[in-house]
Amino acid sequence: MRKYVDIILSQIADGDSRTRLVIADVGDFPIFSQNHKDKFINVGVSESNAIGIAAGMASEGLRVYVYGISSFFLYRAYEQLRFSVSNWNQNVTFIGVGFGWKYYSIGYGHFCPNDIALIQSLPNFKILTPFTINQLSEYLSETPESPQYLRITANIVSNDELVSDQCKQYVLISYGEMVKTTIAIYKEIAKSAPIGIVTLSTLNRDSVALLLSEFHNCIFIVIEDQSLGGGISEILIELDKPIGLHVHLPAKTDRVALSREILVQEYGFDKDTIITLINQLINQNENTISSARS
Amino acid sequence: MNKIYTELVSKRIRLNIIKMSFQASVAHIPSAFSMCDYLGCMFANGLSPKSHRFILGKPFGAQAYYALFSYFGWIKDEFGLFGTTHPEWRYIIQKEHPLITYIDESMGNCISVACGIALAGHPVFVNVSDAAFQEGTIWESMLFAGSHNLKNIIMSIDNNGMQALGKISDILDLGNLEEKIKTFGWDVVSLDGHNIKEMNEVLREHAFQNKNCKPLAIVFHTKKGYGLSFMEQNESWHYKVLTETDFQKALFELA
Repeated sequence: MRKYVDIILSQIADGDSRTRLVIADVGDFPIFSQNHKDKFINVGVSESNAIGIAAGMASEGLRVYVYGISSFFLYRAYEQLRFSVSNWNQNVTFIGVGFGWKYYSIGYGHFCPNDIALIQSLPNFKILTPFTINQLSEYLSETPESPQYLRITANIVSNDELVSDQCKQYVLISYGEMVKTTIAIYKEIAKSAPIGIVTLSTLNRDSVALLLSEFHNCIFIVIEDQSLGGGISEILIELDKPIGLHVHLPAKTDRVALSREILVQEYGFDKDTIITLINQLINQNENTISSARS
Repeated sequence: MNKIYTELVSKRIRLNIIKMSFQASVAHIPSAFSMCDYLGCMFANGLSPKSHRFILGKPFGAQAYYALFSYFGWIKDEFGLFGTTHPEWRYIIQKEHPLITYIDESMGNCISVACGIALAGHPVFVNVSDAAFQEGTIWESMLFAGSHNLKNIIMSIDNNGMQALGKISDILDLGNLEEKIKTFGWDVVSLDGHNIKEMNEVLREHAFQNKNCKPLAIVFHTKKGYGLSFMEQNESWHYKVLTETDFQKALFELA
């Protein structure tokens, strides 16, 4: 998605001179940096300083985007995000990559299983989890009125892959990074099981609550690249919605995976493992109901 | 007509700080005393929240800000509200205060924010304590400001050589702060932060127009608790509140 961010932000800056893009020496933006040299600021390897600078620019009415690796910004610059941006409600959009388990195989310093949990505890922040280019474009084009955490993904869902939200006895629910996998699972088992789906491009509690207000008498199957204590499961618990199965990341691990594939299999993030778990859930529930009837 | 800052005004400001602190039963009085003279001289010589964005890199000892804001006519004299939940009279100034652009409740982030404001094209004034230079982030931002020639930034440093639990030289020595700041690409001026005559002369001439292309740091050499014999450079007073006896003693000394 980064190349689309480059194109879209450059177009936004063409029409809005207030636009600024800040990086801390990570991220290649050839179009923006060439077309808007004076609006492109590489602060060097200093994430905390980047967030402070962004907050200062936003306080003067500029429209500021900061791009970087989530683990580096959320862990090192959390105080600045919490105080300088969130508390002062500055219009800074942090565009994060490498969240969850994405860069885990590089090393523990890149493992970021609780990025959403961290942002969810900050007042004023919106969490955006686009999985299509249209959603990305829409979110970037809107003039922000509060801080935002925009999680971008390489798992882009094309228009012909999209499925409509629907309520059934079981409902798969996912957002951003995991939507592509969730749609694939849905397409494989929906014909044989009473299963619906919800795909979210934002984790704002109010919009999720509104969307799910029509979902009654269903059991949710949550698939998220987030550890316990954050993400969509937290919102479902708040909304008093039942969760039958929760596929999530471990909160901590001191072992560096050899490859992403191994990590995916070990933590059950591959399609086949999730389908097996879903079938087990459905069978267990049916057996329970049968036993109760007999 | 512009207000002046004299020895007599300095005493009035200190008296108001003492009265506010006693009535609200709060600490950080020595911090307020150490910065009130140089801030008063800066305000009297043209620096104001109207000409510059105002960032409090040193939010503790807020009594000094309130006393000075009131003296310069920027807020009403409502000292009885100090330390209450009134949004404009909090013990630590909060974002609701109309004269303040940003405050650093945990230290070291003020210059980063100032860099952002300066990049957006607005002049910005930051008041910071010397102890804040023990934070790493401040040096990241100092390097950025110097490297980008952000001449819109003026920083005053309350160089009293003390921090919460003792002397800076004993806890984490900053060495020659002026030289360090210079090597980060800033212009540096050093002044005695309690010599009102000298500060007025230098600051009047300076008029806060930085003629070079660099950010400006004014290092004010001060004493924590200056003006009260029992408080001056006495670390035990950092977190201490005034008793009735202390209060009467302070009133007597400042009379």
